[in-house]
Amino acid sequence: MLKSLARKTDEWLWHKGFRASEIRLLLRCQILVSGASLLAGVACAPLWDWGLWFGVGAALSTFNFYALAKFVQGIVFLPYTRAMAAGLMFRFYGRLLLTGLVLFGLIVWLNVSVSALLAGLSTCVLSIAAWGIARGAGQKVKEA
Amino acid sequence: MRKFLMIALNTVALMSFAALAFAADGKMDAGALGLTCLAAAIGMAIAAAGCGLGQGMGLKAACEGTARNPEAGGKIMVTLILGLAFIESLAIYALVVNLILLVANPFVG
Repeated sequence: MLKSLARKTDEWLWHKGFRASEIRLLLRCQILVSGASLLAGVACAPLWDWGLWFGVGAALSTFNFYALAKFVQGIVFLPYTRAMAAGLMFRFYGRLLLTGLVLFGLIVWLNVSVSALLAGLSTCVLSIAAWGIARGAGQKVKEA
Repeated sequence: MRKFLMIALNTVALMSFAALAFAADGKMDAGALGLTCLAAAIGMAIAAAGCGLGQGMGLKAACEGTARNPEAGGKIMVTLILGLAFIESLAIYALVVNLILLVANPFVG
């Protein structure tokens, strides 16, 4: 079931225009992790809401990574212009503003656990780091 | 430029410590609250500006690299996206820290 879900997610990402296999792999992992943690968090919410906010943080992180990857892969093969850099910066600030509003609402109005949110937001960095370590280890094995 | 940067960073650090010292007794007075707000605003501004500049420079370098060697474009794009994601996560962390300072400060009773 997990394999089929991963394959479907991969196909959906391909249709969305993600052609680089590494980025698709990372995004797939992120989407599956955030979806699983959100589902588990909703199921366990009456007893322990930490998991739910972890899932929300992971979903926020996944959204940021998705939007960033989608924009960058569309522009990186074009010749560099100032408008391109400005577009990247404005999109970055827009996403940061959106993330800030969501985080503000969660922390101030809903009083959610900040540690859960931070752990969820770190999933993207952690999955990239894990992917890098695994890739480095794989290369060393090939060289040996 | 370097002197100005050192002065600005020292000012931010002093403001942060002053706010903590004022808030040590469990209640934050208006002055300390103002300093905390100022420190949070300056901290977020520095984080956002630094991350924005870093992303722009990374994009510029990636475009130049791809233009010089188009065959390496795929690898450059993957590395660029991952680098940008790392940079962006730093800005989000700074944002969370500033929100904690402003609205969920653990040093304020």
